[in-house]
Amino acid sequence: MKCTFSLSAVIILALTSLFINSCRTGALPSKSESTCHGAANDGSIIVRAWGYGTTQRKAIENAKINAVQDVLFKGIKAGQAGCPTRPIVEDISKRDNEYFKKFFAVGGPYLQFVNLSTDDVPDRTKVGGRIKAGMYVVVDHRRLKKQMESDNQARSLNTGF
Amino acid sequence: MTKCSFQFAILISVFGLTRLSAQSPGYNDDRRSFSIIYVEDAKQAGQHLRTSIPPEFQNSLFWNDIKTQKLNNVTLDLFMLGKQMTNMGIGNEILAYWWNRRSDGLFNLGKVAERGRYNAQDIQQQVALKGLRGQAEMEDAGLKLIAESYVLVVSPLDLHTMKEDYDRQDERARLNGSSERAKRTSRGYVGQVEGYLYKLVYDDKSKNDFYNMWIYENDSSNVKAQKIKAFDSYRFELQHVKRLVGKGIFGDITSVASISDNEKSDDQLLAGWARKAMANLFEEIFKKAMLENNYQVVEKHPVKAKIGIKEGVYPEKKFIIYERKERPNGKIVRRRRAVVRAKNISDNGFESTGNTSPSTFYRVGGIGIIQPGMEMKTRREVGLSVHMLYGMDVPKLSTSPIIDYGLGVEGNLSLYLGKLGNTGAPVGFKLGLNYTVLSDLFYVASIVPVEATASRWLLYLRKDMYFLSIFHVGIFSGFGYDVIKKSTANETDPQKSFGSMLVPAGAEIGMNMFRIMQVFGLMEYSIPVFERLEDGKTTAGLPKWYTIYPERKGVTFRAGFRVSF
Repeated sequence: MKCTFSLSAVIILALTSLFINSCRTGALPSKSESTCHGAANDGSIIVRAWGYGTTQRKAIENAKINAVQDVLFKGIKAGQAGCPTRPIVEDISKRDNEYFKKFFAVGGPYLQFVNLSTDDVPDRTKVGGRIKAGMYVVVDHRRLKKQMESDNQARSLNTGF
Repeated sequence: MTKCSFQFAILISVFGLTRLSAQSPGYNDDRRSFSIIYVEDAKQAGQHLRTSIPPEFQNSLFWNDIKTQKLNNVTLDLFMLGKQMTNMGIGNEILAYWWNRRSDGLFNLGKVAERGRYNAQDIQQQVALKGLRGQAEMEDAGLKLIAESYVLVVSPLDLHTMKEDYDRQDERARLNGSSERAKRTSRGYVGQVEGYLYKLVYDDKSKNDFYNMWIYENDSSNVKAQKIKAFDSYRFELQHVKRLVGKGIFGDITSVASISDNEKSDDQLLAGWARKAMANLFEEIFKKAMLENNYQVVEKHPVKAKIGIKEGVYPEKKFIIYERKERPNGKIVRRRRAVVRAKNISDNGFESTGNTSPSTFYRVGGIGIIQPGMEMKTRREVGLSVHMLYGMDVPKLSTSPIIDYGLGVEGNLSLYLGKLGNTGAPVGFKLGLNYTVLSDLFYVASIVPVEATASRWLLYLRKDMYFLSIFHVGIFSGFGYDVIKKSTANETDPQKSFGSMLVPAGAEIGMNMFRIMQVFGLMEYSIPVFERLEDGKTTAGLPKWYTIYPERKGVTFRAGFRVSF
């Protein structure tokens, strides 16, 4: 009888632990700040980006989205020199508008500005119940800026003249 | 009671699943460079030690070929030896090698750049090539490798010839008052090897001091001379890491009686000893000093990683795949997910452009899901296992009623071939020896039961194939000797043994239980060959052994468990 009771206690303990772990995932950051790892000849920049997801594929996609979002709305301030520290889109509130929702949709246009990424070998870390993927992403800053300017999301240098 | 056992099993499973190995976070993929210096000894074994680098480390490490190759009159103390070598300028020699120091004192970046390119993993190459500085960045990466320079001082430990060994035995016998002398049947060498490991101190101060001594083309001859003098008189420090002694006593001996044309000379025997001793010392260095690198999985079906010959991968080499886990306090821990072994090895020995084709691995353990990006770390092993066997009576299938039991030992043949530098060795082959025995009543050439012992020696070769992560099937065949011996004897019925050679073949199925333990069951069918042997002699014309003792011919089932090292 004593044994049966202990067995139940073990199962309840295990289930409670699983429940607590699954709840904890909600408190995780959705992204981490991207860091600069140099600039390329063609106007691209190399950033180290991180993404979270319930699966590795989602985490990798989120890392690419985070890299492009950081270039667009925050500028790359941490890490090595060579990356633009000024964001392409000054108004961060634009991030939630319809244009950017489509831009960052699954398989959306943002992928055209990711020249290369090491998504075959991400730095995979499990955090709570989610996967954190860290990888190098080469973002075509020059073309991205031109695209934003032509789509009237960013001001071009000759605005006002 | 059953419930308690069940509960205990659950607890073990819970502990097994949640066991996390706390290790330092981050990857360490810097290739180490080594210089080997030997200590002169009376038997001149040191030079053999210096040249006996195990094949797997010849490509996976950089070798700094410095001028000092041997040491005389040194104190074999870890701390003191470090001081002595620092004062002798060994650190300077290492830096001179790294920076291609010429006779006129000028340095250049050639070696650093070459090693930087060679050391970089493909992923680093790809990223660097996109950068403005491109290849130059990779070459500069060689700079950090200088700080991973080691010096290994090797010296024989209690190395003696067999003759000296026999002389000692005779001397002991003489002191004990015995006139018996040792039988001098072998010649060769027996002994251990000890290694003193040091690391070059290349911190900010050393770097700064070194760059102050850097000679530029446009330096005046006066300044050049001053800088050359400054470098020659400066002493770059060697810091002690560890003293290591190869486990076990190794020998390479041959029989004195067997005099033939191809008999080994004393020098060959000494070289043979040095090879074994150094292989063992390197095992110790990379196990105890934890100098192994981490790599990443790039594909999961089949498991692939962009490593190959230059990382020291050989067929059957064991790797553990870990998942990194970040705890709420930010600490990174690693959880073991799977155990894999190398199968097809990528020949990247000359690859320094970031285009390494991946090596393939096959899974031999662990139930975790493998994902690209997980961490791989090699785990060194002896490659031996011991197992226990117990015969089973399987109704309708067993054609032999004998339920014997026994012990066996197995060596991982593929692993040893791989360690010897055979990169194309087939994987999954084991070479084993079983001994099984049974004491019971048998009907030997008579209807009267006789108490006898039946035993079987079996040498076999098995090929294992793994499936569903933790299961394996293996097929084996080999050669054996079966013998039955009467337990009792009298004048009219003397003790006799009846034996026969046999060829067994069979299959094994098994499952991994814990990290080093497997349970398995096997089916073996034995076919007797040649004449029956009575007391070890051929008895042509007499009945075949299996007509006297028919039960040993046929199918036998056995179960057992195996512990690997």
